[in-house]
This record gives sequence, C-alpha cells and structure tokens, in this order.
Amino acid sequence: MAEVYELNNGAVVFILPRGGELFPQVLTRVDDNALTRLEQCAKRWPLENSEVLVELKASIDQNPGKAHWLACDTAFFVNLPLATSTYALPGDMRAQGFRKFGVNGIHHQWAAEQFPAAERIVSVCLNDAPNAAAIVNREAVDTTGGYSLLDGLPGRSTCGSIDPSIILVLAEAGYSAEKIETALHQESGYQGLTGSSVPINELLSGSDPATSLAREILLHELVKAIGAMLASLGGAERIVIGSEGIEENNKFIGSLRSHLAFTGIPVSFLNEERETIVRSIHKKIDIELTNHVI
Amino acid sequence: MDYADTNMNILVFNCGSSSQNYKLYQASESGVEVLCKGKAHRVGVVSKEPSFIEHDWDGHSERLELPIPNHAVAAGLILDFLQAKDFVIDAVGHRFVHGGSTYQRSTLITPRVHASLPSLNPLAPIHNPNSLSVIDVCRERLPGLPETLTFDTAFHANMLESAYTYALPAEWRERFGLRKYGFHGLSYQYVTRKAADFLQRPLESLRMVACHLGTGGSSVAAIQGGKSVDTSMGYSPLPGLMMSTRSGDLDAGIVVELLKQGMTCKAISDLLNKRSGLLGVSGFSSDIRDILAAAAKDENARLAIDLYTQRLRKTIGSFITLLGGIDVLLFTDDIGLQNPSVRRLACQGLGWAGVELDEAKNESAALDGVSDVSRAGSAVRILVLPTDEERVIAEETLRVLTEAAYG
Repeated sequence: MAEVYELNNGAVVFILPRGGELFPQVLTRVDDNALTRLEQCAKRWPLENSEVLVELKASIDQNPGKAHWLACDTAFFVNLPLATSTYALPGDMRAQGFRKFGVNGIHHQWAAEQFPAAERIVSVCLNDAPNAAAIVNREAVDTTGGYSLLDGLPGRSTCGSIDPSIILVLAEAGYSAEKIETALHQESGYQGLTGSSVPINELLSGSDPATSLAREILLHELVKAIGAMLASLGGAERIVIGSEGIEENNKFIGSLRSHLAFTGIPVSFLNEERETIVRSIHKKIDIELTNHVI
Repeated sequence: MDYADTNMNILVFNCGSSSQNYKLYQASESGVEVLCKGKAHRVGVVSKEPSFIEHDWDGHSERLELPIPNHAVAAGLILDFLQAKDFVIDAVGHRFVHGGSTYQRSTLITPRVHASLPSLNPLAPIHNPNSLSVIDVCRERLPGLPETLTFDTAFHANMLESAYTYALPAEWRERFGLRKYGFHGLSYQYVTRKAADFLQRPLESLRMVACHLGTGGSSVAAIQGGKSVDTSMGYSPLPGLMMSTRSGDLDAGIVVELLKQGMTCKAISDLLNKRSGLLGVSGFSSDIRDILAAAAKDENARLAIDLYTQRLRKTIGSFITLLGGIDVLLFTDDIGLQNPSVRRLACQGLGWAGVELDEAKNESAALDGVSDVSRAGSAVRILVLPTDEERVIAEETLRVLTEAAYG
C-alpha cells in the first residue's frame, strides 16, 4: 500500500519513497511530466515505488478534479556532498546513477525544524526503516540511507548493510536476482531474525526473549550509526530521536541514551504521528494552490 | 622432538594473495627471535616484471629472480634455501585467513584437521587454497614435523551475536554460514598487546579502536579488554572501509541491480574486489601515495582521498560510540604507519570523543616502533606502530605445542 494523505483543501498527497535526482524537490504537482519521471523511478526501484505509481494513476482516474501531489522522501538528501553520497566504485558505475539518496527526508527535515537553534544535528528516525541523518543548518550532509532501501540499518523486513559478497554467494547457489531482491526487501531485517513481521515500535516496546536478539542488533547498529554521523559532522549540538508510538520511558530508548551519555551531547526525543509530520508540509501546498494552480 | 621443549626453531609461513612471507624464529624461555626471513614476490603473477625471492639472515641478504608460478613452488624454494643453509626446523606455523565457525583458536594440524581444511576454501577462495598448498608441501618435505594453523578470524570469534548476525532469513544464514567473521586478527592481537605494554596499562582495562590500514586490505576493530567487540570486515574481506581496489561497504541493492542487468558473478566480484576503491575512484592508481601527491590538482584524486578518509573517520566514530568512549586509537600496517596525512584527516572532527592529534608528532612518527602522536591532554592516546603477524603465529605455535604436550 502506498502512503497517501488527503488534505483539507482536497489535494491528494502521495509519498514517493525514492525519487533520486528525478525528484529533487519535496513537493511536485503531478502532471504528465511528473508521471513519466515517476515511471522511471518505479522501474529503477520497483519494490519501493511500484505501488505509488499504480495507486496514483488509479486515484487520478477516480478523482480527476482533485490536485495530486508527490511528496518525495529522498529530496532532502539530493544535495549531499560528494564525499558522503559517493560509493567507492569506478566512474562508469557511478555514471549509472549509483549514489546515496537517503531515506525519510520528510521526517528529518521536520525534525531539524523543531530545533532551529542547533547548528549541527544527528537525527534518528526510528520507524520501520530505521536510519540516521547528519544535518547542518537544516540541510542534510550525511545519511545511513543508501541507493535503495536496503542499505544502512536493518529494517522491519529489509536486510540493511550486508557484505556485498553475500549476494554473489546466493547467486552462485542458483537463486535468481529477483528472488534475492524480494528476500532482501521482504523476508529479511527483524522479520528474518524473529520469523514474524512486527512493526518496529511494537518490537521495541516488547520484552519477549524470542525477539531480544532483534532489539540488541538494532541498538548495536543505531549506536554505531549515531557515532558515524557524529564523526561526519565533527560533533553536534543535539541528537534527536524521532519515533511514532514509542514511549520515551521505553527501556530501549533508555539503553540508547545511556550508550550516548559519554558524549555529553543532549538527546531529545520526539514522538509524533507520521500524519502530523506530513501535514506540516500542507501549508506549502496551500500557498502553491493559491498562487499558481487554481 | 619433545613438544614441551620451548627451545625450538619455528618456521612461519604467511601467504598473501600474490606473495609469500616467511620467518624462521628461534624460540626460547625469553621469547622468539628471527633467525632468517624472506619473501617471494609476484607469486603466480604474469607481468613484465619478473618474480623474485629474497632472503635475509645473520647480516646477509640474497635476491633471486626466477619463475614462481604458485605458492607451493614458493614454499619449496624457501625450504630448499633453509636446508641448504643448514637451518634446523622443528615446527611450522601457518597463517590461515579464514577458519569459519569451525576454528575459533589456533590448532595443531592433525589428520582430521587437515581433512577439514578444503571445506573452508569457499570462505576465502584466494587465500585458503594457497595456504593449503603450502601445508601440503611441508607435509611432504618435512614429514612428521608438527604444524599449526593460526586464523585471522579467530580474534573475532567471541564477538556477540548482536555484532556478527546479519539480518537475513534464518535459512540462508544457516545454509551458507552467513555471518560476520572479521579479519586481520593476528595484527589486532599483536598491536593491542604492544600498545598496552607501551602505555604500561593492563590490556584488560583498555577500550581501543584499532585501524589496520594495509596496501591490500584494510579494516577497523572495536576492542575492549583485548577482545574484539566489532569489526568493519564481514563474511568476506570486501565490506567496511574503502580499500586499494575494493569498494568496501556497498548497498546490496546495487549488486542486485548489476545481476539484473546481466553481469556475471565473476564480473561483479572483479568489479568490487579489483576495480573499485582508490583505483576505481581516482581512475589512475590504487596506491594512496600517488593519489595524495595528485590531490592538489586532480579532482578524482581529491574525491578518492575524501571518500577514503571520510569512511575511515565514520567507522572510527561508530566504534567509539559502540564502546562508550575509548582510551586508545591505533594506526598500523603500511598505510596506517607511513601516511601522516591519512591519520590527520581520519582524526579530524573526532574532538567530541576526546581524540586530539599533535600534528608535529604525527608528521614524525617512527616506522619501527610505537609513537604516541596525541596532543598533551588528549583524553584518547593516539598510537602509531608497525604490526608483526608472523611473530603472533610463532607465539601461537609455541603455545599450541606446549598445550599439546601437557594436555
């Protein structure tokens, strides 16, 4: 299911998980040109974007009078410095567009706006695709997110950063690229570790010993990710942990805080509904509707 | 020979992918000393430059150009030389890169151990078969002599499950033995002890991040009380840092996409292991010294240095938070020892963790001993030192044989 919001003014907003360099701005009014670019993105990242393409087209057919918008979740990271966006590949491979595009840009942009006085922020998004971003003056300078949704930390069903040699071991054993791709997106992560598909906020609120390894791995990787982002920034004024539906007095959050205590950097906790965050861009759409569209 | 006798000569073989190092040690109550050492260069390499073998012993040295088609031939030439010079060999210790889950510590090569070794070849398809061929030469030429194996992976064998487990389907993890193993363990074992001795503090009390930066492979390890907590390499030596020709960490989605484009596994493996890293990004060299020299005027060279040092710095940072702060940051092996600018760039921006480099000391770090290059008052001591993997193999061999004698 695509992530869709209908706003009070009637506009329909589809979240685009991966837009790459084809969607460099957060908000795009859907027209033929945008649909063509969306088709390219769905071809490039089929498991991330295909549902958006199908459901957006259906919605336009059903609601021809409504304004449709795409809110791109990677746009916040499109101007990452080369030193953080580049994979150490030869030029011909980099020319194919393989670079880091990050993840959850809308969340990180919103989180940074909550702390306007902090110059350097490490922002953690603790959702089903947990990740961290390094932000300077509300602009992204680094991220654990990668080219696809697979890089970085393991997610609810995504594998996270694994040894690339493993893909070759699997391919040589006879698995097709499509089977590997599906398994790495849909059968790995905390689902692969625990055998059941559980939202991250439930996983972190639970205390079932059968899922403790999954929590330990997430804590281990999160602590490392924050250290990597701190190193990238050269230190930070604030570490911001954002989640939806995790209580601040949660044991996991407590462990995370105590791991970071030695840095002396203040840690803030934000617990906000995704919908509220997405709706915070509502005003921008309103302005555009008034000025240009209607 | 009586295994319990600590006075013995131990021959150590350390196979690289295209080289063969050896050292003959004399072991005694007071430790191990080198009697003779040498290296076969360009083993199995076809190029305009000739293969050659060199030996150094007792103030003499010898260099001989000749074809060396494989590691077994190299080992044979080394044994010929040692026997011609009347050196006594009482035991042989071999470096074995990948011990898998089977071998978590050094071991005597019994018939059963020997029979199990081919099953480890898929885990290190270049290094393990080379070492195995050298073992077989020794068994043929020196029958009955005790031989031992010391594994690069063993140092990391006690990492916690949360550090070594990949978030992959259980079926695949079990069937293929997919987990983080880690490498450069002999080097980490050596440099962490050496650093503790230098600081005159018990190893058990120290939290360290150690950077083994080699011209071939590079990795970083988080080490608490002398034990590995995490490391940047993984199932294979490919992931982690950007290396001379290896990509290091790379989104699995990119590898999948290359497969879907029709690239073969062999072609992808060559791309990521032999054409990426410093060579791939700079476009002209895999040697960081060439790239540093060109960085002022070449954009790709500058990007290669930025990427290399940025990823190194981030890996150090990630292990510092993992350990909850550190006492010691170590740099070793060729790149770590010989390039002050790599150390300077890696330490930049780690002030939040108490890492403060003294630039003058950093520029003049010794190549043959331990140098403290941290600023006075730096919470973290930054040390630079050469590694000595062969010495660890000799000491491990002595330990294994002593244990075998006393049960």
